[in-house]
Amino acid sequence: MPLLALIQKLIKTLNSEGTPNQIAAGIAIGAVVGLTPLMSLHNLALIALAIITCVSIPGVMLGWMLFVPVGFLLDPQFHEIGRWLLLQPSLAPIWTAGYNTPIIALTSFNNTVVLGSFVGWTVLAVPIFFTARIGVIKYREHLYDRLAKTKLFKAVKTSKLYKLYRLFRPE
Amino acid sequence: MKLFRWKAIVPLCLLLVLLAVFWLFLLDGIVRRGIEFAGSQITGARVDVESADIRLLAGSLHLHRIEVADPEAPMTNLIEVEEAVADLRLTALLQKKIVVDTLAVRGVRFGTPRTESGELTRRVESTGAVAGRFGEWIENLPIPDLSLEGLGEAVNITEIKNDSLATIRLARNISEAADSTGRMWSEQIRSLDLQAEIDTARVVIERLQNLNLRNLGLRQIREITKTYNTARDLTHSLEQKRDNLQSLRSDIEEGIGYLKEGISGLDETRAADYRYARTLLQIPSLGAPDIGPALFAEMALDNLRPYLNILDKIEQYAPPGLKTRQRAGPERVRMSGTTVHFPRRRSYPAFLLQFAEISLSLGEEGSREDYLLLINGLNSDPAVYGEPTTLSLDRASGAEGERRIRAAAHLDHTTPLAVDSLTVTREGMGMGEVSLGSVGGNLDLGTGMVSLRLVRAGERLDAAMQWNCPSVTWESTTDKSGVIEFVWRTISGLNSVVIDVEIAGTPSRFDLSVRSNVAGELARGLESQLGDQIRRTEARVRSEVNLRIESFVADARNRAEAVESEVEERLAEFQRQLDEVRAELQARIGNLTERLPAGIIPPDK
Repeated sequence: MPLLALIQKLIKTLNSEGTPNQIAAGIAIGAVVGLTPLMSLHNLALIALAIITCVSIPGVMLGWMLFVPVGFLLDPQFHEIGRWLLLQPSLAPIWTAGYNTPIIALTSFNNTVVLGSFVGWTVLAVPIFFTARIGVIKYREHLYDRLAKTKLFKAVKTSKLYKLYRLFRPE
Repeated sequence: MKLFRWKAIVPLCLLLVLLAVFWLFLLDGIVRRGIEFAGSQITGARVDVESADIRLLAGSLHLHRIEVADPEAPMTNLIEVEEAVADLRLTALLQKKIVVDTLAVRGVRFGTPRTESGELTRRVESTGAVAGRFGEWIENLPIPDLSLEGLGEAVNITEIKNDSLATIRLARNISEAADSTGRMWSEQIRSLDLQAEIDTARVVIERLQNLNLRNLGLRQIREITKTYNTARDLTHSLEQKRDNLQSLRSDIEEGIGYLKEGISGLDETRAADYRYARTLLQIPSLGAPDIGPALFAEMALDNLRPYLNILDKIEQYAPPGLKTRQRAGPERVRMSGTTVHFPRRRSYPAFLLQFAEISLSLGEEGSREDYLLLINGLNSDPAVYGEPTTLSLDRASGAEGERRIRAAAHLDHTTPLAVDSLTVTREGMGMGEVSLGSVGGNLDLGTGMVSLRLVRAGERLDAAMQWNCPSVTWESTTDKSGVIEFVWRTISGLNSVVIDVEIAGTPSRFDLSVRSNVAGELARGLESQLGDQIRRTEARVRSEVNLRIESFVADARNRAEAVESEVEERLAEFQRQLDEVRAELQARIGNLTERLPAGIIPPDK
């Protein structure tokens, strides 16, 4: 429990700002955790990056939650992409170097699903960022006021989920 | 807007330290489960490790009580290890590789009972998978049968069926091929349109002959020029026809060659049919080289099988060469995928055991003996490591007694051509029992010595095994009479048995040879009792086979010869006529040119 409290406090402290760019960047970074296998070194590095930069941490959590099912769904495609890349003779020197380099070898990029999903995320990260950014702006402009008046919204507002939701509230 | 949250650095570091502590706390369990998973992948049965204790700073790993279940007998352990201590190289761990500098293992026992089943409840695709080349090879080695039942009884030749005789099938095919190719060649000769060309040439020759060269009016000159041109064109056309005929002739000669090849193959299939009919009637071969495999090949292969499975495993987990390798990815909630390994020279192999000293306890409960197994350079990427793996097993120093096992292996997979050699000698131990079903008895080989020498180079395998059993006992399991009683009396008089087995070749072609004094005695006994009878029966079988196949063979020969002679005759006749008319045509043209004044005949283009 102290650990949980510490994480909550950390998140609370770190998320005093929530511009569309920060939230979109958080979602884009969170997508990598959802799209690629969780226990990977690159996920640790990107989460650390999200913590020390001013991206929205709840945005990261949201991106993670949103993209976990997508990751599971796309695993066969990621496997094929990774397999294709790993078996390209022209790329073999790169993989061989990475496989035999300390730390880099721990990334597991020699696994088809890890590599395929990471490449998939790399390609999708920018579209995810812009789509999320547009979504947040549109939401704040058009949807927030109408939703704020509903009973469900008021009920949710009193719950803990609202802490997360607050990030999408217009400034 | 600020880009960095500087105040988050300290909490982040704190979080990372907490994660590291948490990970270290769980590391022992992770290593234990990793060993259990990898072990079960290799063996195809449960591998249990009671506890693992990894000390990263000291670079050591202690494993306690490792049990490897026998996949064939899940309530028994294949191996049980009391304790293993490994010194790990930490720098290799940063490359996700395991390099064990030294491994000391003590308290190794075999065949101990388990309290719960070692059968795997969940298997992935590669669990227990073996490359299986040599394992499959040995499974498919045909072992001849020795059946003495029915000897002396009337031979039932109705067992021989026409449909089963390869010669009849081949002869029918040849007959059909001769007919169809004969028709095809006739059509091809007809399509050359030779007869029409020859007839035209004859008409033109006649016209040349009847030309009036005395009164050269304008009309005559036009007639002469026209005839001359026709004759000249026809000469070229005849040359073309002759070339076409030559080309067709060489095609036909090739086809005739195939037919003749088929005809000569009939003798080989006839011999195969004799052998087939012989097996159908269960007439035993009297030669010791045939009896030996029938008696002892099964036992020899049973002894050889584990070693071949080991070779297959070694090839699977330590393949030769530097090629990239694909293996199933790690077990996780998400799809495992495939993990591709990219070995490179001058780096660590994915797994390396530099040196291991393993204390083994072999033998029955109460009479166990201590052995020492030494391993050097066991690794997963031999081409990367660059040195062969060596293993040696012998009694621990100071041990005495008649019983002794010695083994040595030299496994060189550093080049694309894998070369493995293995020698194993077991002496002073029970050699087991051999069932001699065909003569109704068992042979207990008693104590003795068995040695194995096995060399494998790429696809080729050479294995030699020898059993030397000075004191054997024979046990009759059925009531015997007649020939079998005589045979039993002959072989059961032997006190010692020597068996030599040799297997050599590649998976596609191999030789199995089993020599034994038992087979020699049995062959001599059978020869003295049944030699004449069996030879008479064999002659009858051959005659029956000949009777059934002769008409088909004769038909095939006749049809092939008929097609050949007919086609040859037609080709020769056309060739002769073509040459004749062409020569005459050229002579007439020459004659015409000489007799006419210059300028009337246009020059050749």
